[in-house]
Amino acid sequence: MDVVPEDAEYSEIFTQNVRNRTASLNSTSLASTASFQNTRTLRLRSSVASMRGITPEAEPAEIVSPVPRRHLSHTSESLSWLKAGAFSDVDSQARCISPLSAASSTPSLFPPSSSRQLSFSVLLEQEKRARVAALRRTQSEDTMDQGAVRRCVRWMHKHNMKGWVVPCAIAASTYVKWCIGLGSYSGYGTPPMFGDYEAQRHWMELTIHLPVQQWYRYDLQYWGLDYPPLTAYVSWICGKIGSWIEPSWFGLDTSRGLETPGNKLFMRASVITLDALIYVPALYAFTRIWHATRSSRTQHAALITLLFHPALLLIDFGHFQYNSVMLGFMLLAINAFAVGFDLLGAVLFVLSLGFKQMSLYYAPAIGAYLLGKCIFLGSKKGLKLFTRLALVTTFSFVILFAPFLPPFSPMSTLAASISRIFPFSRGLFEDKVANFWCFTNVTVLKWRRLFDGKESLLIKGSAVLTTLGFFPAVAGLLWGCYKTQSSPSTPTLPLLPYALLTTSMSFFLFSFQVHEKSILLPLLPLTLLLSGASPSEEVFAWGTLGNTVGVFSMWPLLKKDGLGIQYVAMLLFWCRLIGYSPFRVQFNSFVHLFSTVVNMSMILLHLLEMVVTPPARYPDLFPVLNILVSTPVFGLIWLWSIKRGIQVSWAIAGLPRSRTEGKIKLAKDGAHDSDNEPASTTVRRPEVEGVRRDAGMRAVSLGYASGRAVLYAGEDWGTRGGERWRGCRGELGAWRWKGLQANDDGVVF
Amino acid sequence: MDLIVEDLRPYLSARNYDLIIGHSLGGVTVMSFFPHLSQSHPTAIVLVDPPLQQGAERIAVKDAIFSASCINIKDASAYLAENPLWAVKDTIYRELGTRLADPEAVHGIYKRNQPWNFLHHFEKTSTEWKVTVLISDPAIQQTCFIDDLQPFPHVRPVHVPNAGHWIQYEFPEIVVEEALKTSYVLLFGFRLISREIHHYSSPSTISDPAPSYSMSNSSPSSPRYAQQSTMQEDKTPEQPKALPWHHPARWLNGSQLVTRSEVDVLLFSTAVKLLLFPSYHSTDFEVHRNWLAITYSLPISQWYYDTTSQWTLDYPPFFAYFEKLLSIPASFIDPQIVDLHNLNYDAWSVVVYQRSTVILSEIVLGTALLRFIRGAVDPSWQRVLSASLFLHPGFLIIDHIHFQYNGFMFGILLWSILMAREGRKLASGLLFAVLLNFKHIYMYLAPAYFVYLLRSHCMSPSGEILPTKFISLANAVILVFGASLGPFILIGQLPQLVSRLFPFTRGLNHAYWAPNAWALVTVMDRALLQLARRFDAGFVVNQQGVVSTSRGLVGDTTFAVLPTVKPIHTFAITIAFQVMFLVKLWRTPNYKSFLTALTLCGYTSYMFGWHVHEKAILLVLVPLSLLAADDYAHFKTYMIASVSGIFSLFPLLFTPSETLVKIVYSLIWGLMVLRPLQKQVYE
Repeated sequence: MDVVPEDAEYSEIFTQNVRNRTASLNSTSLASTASFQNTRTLRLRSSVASMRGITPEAEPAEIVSPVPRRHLSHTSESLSWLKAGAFSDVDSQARCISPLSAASSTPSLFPPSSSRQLSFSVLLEQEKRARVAALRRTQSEDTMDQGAVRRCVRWMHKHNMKGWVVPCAIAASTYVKWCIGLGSYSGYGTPPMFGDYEAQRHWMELTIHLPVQQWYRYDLQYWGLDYPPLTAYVSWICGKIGSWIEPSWFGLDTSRGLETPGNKLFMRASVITLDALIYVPALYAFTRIWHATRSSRTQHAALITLLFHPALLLIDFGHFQYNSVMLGFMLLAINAFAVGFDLLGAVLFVLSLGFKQMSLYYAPAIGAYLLGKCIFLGSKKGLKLFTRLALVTTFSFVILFAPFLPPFSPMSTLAASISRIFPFSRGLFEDKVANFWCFTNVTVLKWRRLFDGKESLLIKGSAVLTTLGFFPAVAGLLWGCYKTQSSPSTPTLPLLPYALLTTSMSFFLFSFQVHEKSILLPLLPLTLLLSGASPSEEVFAWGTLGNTVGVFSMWPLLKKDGLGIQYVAMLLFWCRLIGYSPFRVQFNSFVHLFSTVVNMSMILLHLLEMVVTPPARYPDLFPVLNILVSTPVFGLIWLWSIKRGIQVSWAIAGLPRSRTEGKIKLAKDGAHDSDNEPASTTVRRPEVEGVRRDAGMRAVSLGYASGRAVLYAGEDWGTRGGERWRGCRGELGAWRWKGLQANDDGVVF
Repeated sequence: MDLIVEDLRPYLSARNYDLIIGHSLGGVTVMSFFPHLSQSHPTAIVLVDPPLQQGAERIAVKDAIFSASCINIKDASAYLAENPLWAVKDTIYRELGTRLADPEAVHGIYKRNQPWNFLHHFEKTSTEWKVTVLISDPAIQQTCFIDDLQPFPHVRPVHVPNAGHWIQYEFPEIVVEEALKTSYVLLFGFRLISREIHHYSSPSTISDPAPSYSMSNSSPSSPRYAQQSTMQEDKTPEQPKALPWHHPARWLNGSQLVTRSEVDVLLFSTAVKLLLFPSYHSTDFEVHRNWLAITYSLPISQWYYDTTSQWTLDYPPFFAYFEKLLSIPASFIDPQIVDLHNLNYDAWSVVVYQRSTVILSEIVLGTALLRFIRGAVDPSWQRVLSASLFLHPGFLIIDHIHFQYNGFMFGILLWSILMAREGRKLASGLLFAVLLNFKHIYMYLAPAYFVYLLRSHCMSPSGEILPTKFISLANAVILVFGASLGPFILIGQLPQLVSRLFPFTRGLNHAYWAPNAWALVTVMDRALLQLARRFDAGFVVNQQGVVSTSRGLVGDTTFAVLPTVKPIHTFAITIAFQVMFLVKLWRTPNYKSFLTALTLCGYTSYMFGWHVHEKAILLVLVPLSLLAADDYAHFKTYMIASVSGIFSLFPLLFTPSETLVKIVYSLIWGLMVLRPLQKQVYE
């Protein structure tokens, strides 16, 4: 409708509409025009109305009785008639037309002389309603994907239960976790080795009966301890409590393969308790700190989204592991960073590392963040912080490993534990994992055969690839800090989740000895980013896709554990919760198109698996197909996270240009760069600072950097009106505008 | 009103009109005009939703509204905005009217006509006139009530579903059609069946070419509402904004028929129930599996005789047929499920199959509850109540963990109650008869049904028996029982069936005592026994009773000190208590008192019945839930009954794994239901 219609068309539409209005508000032509040309038509009409009067031809030639329709109190909005979508041609043909009225010659209801005023007000009214209707339509399209969590939170807030949302959510998540726990677990009824459940139980047995020196050495063939000391300590506590309840659960060697209901209950309870003590508070703190600027509804919705994170729930409470402890410590660490307690954060991260070495996936990002902060603080303060961090980290590691160190035990104990914790001897990959090595092993070339006997080369290769994989994130963090040096608040915090995602995903994709369960590590930052995002945002699309595919990639494992029902139930539950439908077909952007294709193939694979038995030659047909679907998704998420990281760091680091130093520095080469040419010397520095100061907490908030970029650009644009800022605005805001446009075009087919 | 009539008289008495149509107050005005109309001229009179009889407070409200509208005058465009169906002409007249009208006069109309009752005019109609009253949907607008017209057989009520007060705007063709029909009767003299209440079926879908409304069948013997399919109408009132046919939402998720929050509830409950698959299941699970095997592998004549398992078939025949139906797919999934001698089989296949059938059969409950929302006065609160019932911890504990099919049965009960609410009492009675043949425990509620249907369906308000209605109801019930018991009567197994269904030898208390009056009595007996032993107070101690008193065994309860209670005693006490409120139901046979009576019937039977299961508390909680949002008294009763009722179900699940499940779920449910309801009833 970019072309302005001819005058004749104006009048035609106008006449038509007037006839409708005077005759009957629900007659055929209004129905058709209003439904197909809706708002635009009405707007045209009103604008003409002010110019012209109502022509006498507009008199009603017939009185058409209204088309019957359902009662208004049954519709949610009484204005829905304007949309007139409820009419079909068939419907309108079937309406009753009074035979008398066709020949009626009643005088016009709107004599031209007196009609203007009234009709104008009527038209204005209609215009207003058209706008409201259009607004509502867009709103309703927005709310369409809002997800059950938003609806539920809104409902509870409305009904005076605001304070109950968090307790209820935690109780409900505990309930769901417990229900998942009712089911089977890893290695249930599969002697002689059983599975992860038996491993954890065995460690409890091991730690309470043996001296520390023996922990990493005792009967390594039967689930030898291969997690760092904190796991061992926790196992020791659980084992002590458990054997106090029932000694036979943890008898040394006698209890192997024990599968009594009581023991299961105890083990499940131990996971739930540790989860409730560490992970759940960490999530709550995350929503309070990282979403501090958002409404309480968004915070609550984010909390619920995170609490029911399906992959973690299925692995921890179904398959049986204690990942939530490791993830919880990591979350607590980044929460501590966000409120400025860097040393505490470092200690917490060491605890996370000390629980599971898998937490190393995050280490580059965390390290780069802390290093970046040191750079950011300048040489003096930075050095001080750096020394402190180094001391504290070393000290906590020493305390963590204290029982394995010389005064308590010989050095060889430490060596034994280290070699257990980092098992490079196990091979490139164990099972079928949706990462680069396994994917290329299937599709391109057989790595194992190629590098037979040259394992160390492979290890180096994977290390190099991994480093390359997380380099952009680390570089972004450091560069951002360097660029923003000595600005009032640490700006790289919003970059941290993206960096965590990039590093952990690159580890998952490229590193050595990856388990399929390790996908939980990249999924956590992805879900953190997703929490609080509205469904129309890009991060929502990637986050939901990543999560569903993440769960899907663990399907072979869950199927082996007998957790099929739980898998279905949790996916159903969570997708509905956040308002994501895997069955929706969308083609309006790359990510939507991609998710549609991926979702279709996942559904297809599940259906196939139900119907087809894999041929004897390829018993692993379905796990392999699973990898072929999942790996590209993870790869793309990795690339996307790099892209987002660059965007965010650009937004952050680009900002200081508006500060005086930046301007002066830029002024030197400003002559041949008109876009970045400094505006004038009258920079209102205090104002800018003021904004930053009251931002305070806001600077922390997720996605704030992007918003702030636009804010600054817009401010300058508006107040100074300088052409030179156009470039800046275009630069900084481009991707954001793009995002907005995508929302506007985000029509659901 | 007389003054209005006097004013209008010159217009109306100048000549005789063939057709007079009056809407709302106009309808009442026309009625007030009856004495002045020509008694001999054939006149067709159509009254569109007239307020024939209104309570004082409703009148006060209306008075306030209309008086206010004359003081704060809105212009025509405002009316147009408020009432999109009005023509512009109407809005102008409305504005003109409010400008001209004197607020005092408007107030006077209400003040002078106290009490507001114009029904007496119908007594003075001429035989030459034909009066038709169009009645809006009671769920939307409650101006005119069908029940008010029952005493006047010559007045033809026509119920227009989904119509508000402004029938002429919403369904003009119905008004025209009825006017023409009324005139035709006068002109050509063919009589429509006078007592037939005509129901327009609501336009079923948007794309339906014509708003087809079917006149109900005029053959007097056919059940009045028989041809109105119940399921088809289910979701029509909540018609969505029509999406174009190619819109995937139309054919992909189809969620437009129900609101998103309803889908949420359905999906969440399903997910939670799926997660409960591996949970503990009681012997009832094996009972039902055994019944699958019995109905699958034995001929019908053996069903009630088989004793291969100790869990013999002791539900009425419809349930046996239901199990037969379920056993057919079961035999494909795993033939061992339906193997009669494969006792205590609980492989994963049978668990999944049986638990899925429970979830699937709850569709009956879900649709009934949805339909309750659709026609409710305040859908948002009915939605909360419906959700609370669908997610009731009672169902979760008994059906999805302990294992039974209560959700399905209560679904049928709710359908029956729903039919009663919609005034389709024959359907209501029919469904209840069906339900009785699924599970005979619903006999607890039968007295309320009997009284209600007899009084409100088979008798006119003045107390005369309407034989056709009575016979049709009786026929329907007999038909249902025939379908159920017929085969067994034919092969002469009725006594065996009855002995299976009513095992009076089982004792006063169930293995787990239901928390009812007899539990108190039993406890008192034990206390007295201790007293007697210690003080030798001269009680006669029954030695049999000392050792007995049900300790988790199915058997007779014998008291040591107190006189032993026989089935007939419990029966007498129950009936005596029930009569009290059944008398009240007889006097005011409306929907609300029917619900109350249902609740109380369930309650009395639960408190004083013979061998009551603790699960029977649902018979109290479910009907009571429908009343919970009415007023504070009801809410308080509901709260206490729910909390204690659900608590009384906890002992059903004694395994430690399920402890957390039942407690946390019930707490969340209680909070989410009781808090908003409490706030609402306060307001």
